[in-house]
Amino acid sequence: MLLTRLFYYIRGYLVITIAGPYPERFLNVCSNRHILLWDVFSCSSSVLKCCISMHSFRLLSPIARKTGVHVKIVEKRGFPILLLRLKKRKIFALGLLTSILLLIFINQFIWKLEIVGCKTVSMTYVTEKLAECGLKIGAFRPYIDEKKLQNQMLIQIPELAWLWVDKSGSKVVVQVKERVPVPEIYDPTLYCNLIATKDGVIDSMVIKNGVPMVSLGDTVRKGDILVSGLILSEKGVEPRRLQSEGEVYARVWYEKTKAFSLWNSVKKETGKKETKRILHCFGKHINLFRQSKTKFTDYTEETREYELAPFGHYMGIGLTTITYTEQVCHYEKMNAETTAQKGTLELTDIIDKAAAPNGQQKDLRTNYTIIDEDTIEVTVVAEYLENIAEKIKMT
Amino acid sequence: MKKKAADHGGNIKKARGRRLSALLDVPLDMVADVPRMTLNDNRELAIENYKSIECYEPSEIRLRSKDYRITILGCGLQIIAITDEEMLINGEIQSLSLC
Repeated sequence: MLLTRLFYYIRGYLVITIAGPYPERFLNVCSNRHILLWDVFSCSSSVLKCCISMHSFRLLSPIARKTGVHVKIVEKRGFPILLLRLKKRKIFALGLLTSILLLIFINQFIWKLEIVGCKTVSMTYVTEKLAECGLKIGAFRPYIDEKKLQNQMLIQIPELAWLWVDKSGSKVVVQVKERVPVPEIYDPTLYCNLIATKDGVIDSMVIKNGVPMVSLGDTVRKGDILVSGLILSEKGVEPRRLQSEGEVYARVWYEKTKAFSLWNSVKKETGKKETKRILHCFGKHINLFRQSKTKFTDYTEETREYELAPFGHYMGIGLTTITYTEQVCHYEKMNAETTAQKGTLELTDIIDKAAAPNGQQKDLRTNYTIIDEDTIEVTVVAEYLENIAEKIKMT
Repeated sequence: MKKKAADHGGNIKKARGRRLSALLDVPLDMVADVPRMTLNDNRELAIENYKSIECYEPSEIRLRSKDYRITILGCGLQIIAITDEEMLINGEIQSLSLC
């Protein structure tokens, strides 16, 4: 039905009233003669209101005579009618045309620039380099050559491996992918030992090159030589130097202790909200509020961005709304077990970060002691199995 | 007398249509000229193969099909589109009776 309405809006249609003793008969005859009527509305028992195409209206007079009803045009609607009205109002039509042309012209400039994918390379640095290559806010869109820009940017910023420029109306999205760091080059002339990076008990060893200085079950301290790169000979031959290689796995213990309060803060929303709006208009940001700071002391912030982009074509106008929701902080006293569990999770996270990335957790022990009626002290001891060997150049 | 004969002929045709639809396992409206009504919730009703409108009011729409009368009762009933084959009714439909 939507398509039919759209079709007849483009071609123009009429809203008519049918008044007579039996208007249903008129509808029956129209449907028998394949005349389409839509939005049929009963005003009273003898008056109907409906829509009909301009072409079909010419066929109604014999039907009206036959059924004894009176047909009257109430309103003319559609695109041709709009054009006729505009013909009469020449200044308005001229203004409308000028506005459309101006809008098309304004949309030939870049009003929004987004850079996606920056991790180690600074966003400001990429923006500066893009501006040097000709892509900045206010740049003329047809002059931007994506291929040329890509090549220039990849030459200027060697940290980038790939760059893609996507234009959608007045908005440009630049997607970047950073280069993977170059792996260390193996240098056979670099003579080194394997040194323990942490205290622990040796669990297993895989020695590819060098002389092992420790055996399984030995306790080592940080800085001890695990595998030596110096081979000494008893027969008076000069000692031979080589690059030690291998993995030495040791059981390493981590211990963390921290005091935790039994009082836990719980935040609740009061229901009060404050919204601030910023209008983005062709590269300019207009604040639609007087005070930049919110009146709430404790709050959460939610930012939403809206863009005027019909069919994905950004028109240079956008709106940002910042909604502040007020919160009130309440303190609730928890029991010692719950606080200890919460504290254990927090301390385990800290230990996980301190342990080697490929380390395996073998054992975890926790205990807590009550210091006073409001505080407990949680202690976590974790045992990890990890590679503690590190190459250190021989002196 | 003539009307009776026509009714008799119509019934025979309808019975044949029913037998054929059962035999071929196809919907009845494909082989016989019977009304087909599609009701979406209680808000929208599409009727195909109706004959004529007898009464149109916001609370009642009465239609005539080949064999019976279709009465739709409700609130704010409106004919959205009407063609020789199909009619689309919108509004709060409370009852639909065929007699």
